Amino acid sequence: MADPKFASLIVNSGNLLFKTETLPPDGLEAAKISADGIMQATRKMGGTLAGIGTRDLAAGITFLQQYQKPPAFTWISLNIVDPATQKPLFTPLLLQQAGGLKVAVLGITDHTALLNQSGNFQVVNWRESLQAVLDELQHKADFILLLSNYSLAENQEIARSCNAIDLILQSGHVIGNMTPILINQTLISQTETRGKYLGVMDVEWNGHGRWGEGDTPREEPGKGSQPSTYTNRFIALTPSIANEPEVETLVRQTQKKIDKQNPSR
Amino acid sequence: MNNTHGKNKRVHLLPLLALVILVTLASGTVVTEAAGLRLIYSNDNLGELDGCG
Repeated sequence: MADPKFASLIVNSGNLLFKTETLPPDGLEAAKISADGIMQATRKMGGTLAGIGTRDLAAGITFLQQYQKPPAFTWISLNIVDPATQKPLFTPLLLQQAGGLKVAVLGITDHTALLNQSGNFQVVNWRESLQAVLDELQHKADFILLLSNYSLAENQEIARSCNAIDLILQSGHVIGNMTPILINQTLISQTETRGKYLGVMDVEWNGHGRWGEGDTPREEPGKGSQPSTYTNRFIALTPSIANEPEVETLVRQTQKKIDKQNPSR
Repeated sequence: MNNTHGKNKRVHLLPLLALVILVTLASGTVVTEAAGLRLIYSNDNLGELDGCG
């Protein structure tokens, strides 16, 4: 899969840690142990960032904040804010150098899906928070990637409203791999849930403005510059793929801790 | 409600381990061209340490 033509960026667009938005009291500790193992495994795999999905907040915001350790690992959300100051509680955007490209990675969390009973944070509507961050980014990034926890319908509206975004990678809401769709020169894509597939998108980037696909870029009359192109594939994560020993050990250790937490199970 | 079962968890850890191999292979690239970007992405996935469908 290695290709010297491409600089790689590994991203997770959200809902990494928990499978539900609320956790039952008798399952809380086991879920936290599992989440801790997932964090360690993700970092071992080279993961350094993730968007925040509503499910990532299932054990509370303080639990998630303990894993906010940039630059080793950065949780990204521009619209989870302190209710008093309205300032973001996590990193709103991250500038990543990928080869010759400066990539801005933004994260946004679905404000409609979250039950925040503790009141120690607030999730602001994207309509009130996203454009200001994009305005700040003008001329600072070659490529703008939004990790979004919103639904496809909302993401389509984001794409129509915010011209600066080049790619939206979703979390939540979709069943099955979603082949990239183009809305107002913003691509939107998502992989199947529950660890079944990995998405790989190779981009030949020629700057903001126009997307084509693969070797047959879409030409638009009257526009001189070449469109950017992409190819996308979804790789099934099947049991036939060999295990990485270090992470396998980590998973086993995590499993033991969970069993110890639940000795009757 | 008890919805975790140790035996099942072990069985369903395989996707996580498979992901490790693929990501390791994919990320071992050397950059020679400014405009080439490979995005390796996933979502809603590893919260399922104990099951994958």
